[in-house]
Amino acid sequence: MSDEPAKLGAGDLLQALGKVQMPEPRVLDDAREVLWSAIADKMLGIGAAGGHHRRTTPRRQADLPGGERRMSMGGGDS
Amino acid sequence: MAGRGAVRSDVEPDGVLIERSAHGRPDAFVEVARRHEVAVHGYLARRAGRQAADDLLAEVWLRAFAARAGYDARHGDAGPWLYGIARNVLREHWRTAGADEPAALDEPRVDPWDGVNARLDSAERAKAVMAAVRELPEAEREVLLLVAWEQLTPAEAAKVLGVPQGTARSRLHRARATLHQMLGERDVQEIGVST
Repeated sequence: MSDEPAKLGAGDLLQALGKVQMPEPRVLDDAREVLWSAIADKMLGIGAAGGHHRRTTPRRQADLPGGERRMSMGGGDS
Repeated sequence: MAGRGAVRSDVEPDGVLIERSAHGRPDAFVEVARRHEVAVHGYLARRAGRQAADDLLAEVWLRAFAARAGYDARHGDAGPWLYGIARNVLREHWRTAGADEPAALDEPRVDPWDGVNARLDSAERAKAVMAAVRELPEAEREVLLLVAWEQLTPAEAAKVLGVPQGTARSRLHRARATLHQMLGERDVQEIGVST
């Protein structure tokens, strides 16, 4: 059996060049926390999403009222 | 999103969750974010680099959440809509950073080749491919990369860009033809054949 790899075509190369690393879980969690912050304010009737929340340091999950899991009602938390 | 798994019949479609989030249950939107977060982050990372993707992901969620009332719930898969929002976030990022997309495409990424032989054999050709992609007009490059990198169909790419399907298909055809011409490789035609 040869170790010689099959020669990649341009289409294969382009697709291969689109590979990126999976994001760290922390990054996804932080982004969701920013979203939760906007949602919490919406539920409390404070401000408008996309306004003062933009690019702010996300609050920690523990700071959110009830925490994410208790608040989540949509589509089965996995 | 096509190529990323069909919506299971026992799972509520994105459209239902987004509609619910716009009518009294804003927290329903989090599940939509959860479903698409890896794909959207990947899109941002491919176009602007990983660090920028880390920074911009939350902005995509905030804009999508703010725009949820305008979402057409008949579209069960929110992927193309979210890519479109991410695209706008990227454009603003490039404008603010004084950068442009062709430069961002040079961001270091995962080494796509496993073996040394494959790496040596392909590295030069990969440079040529990326150089050719950078030379494409933006509109054509965007459709091509949505299909090749995000695994969208031309119809889904059309939704992302807010253009008619025929326009997206024409742009994809022209992009492939240009790459074919520049690279002289027939297999460029493989990109985006599936619908």
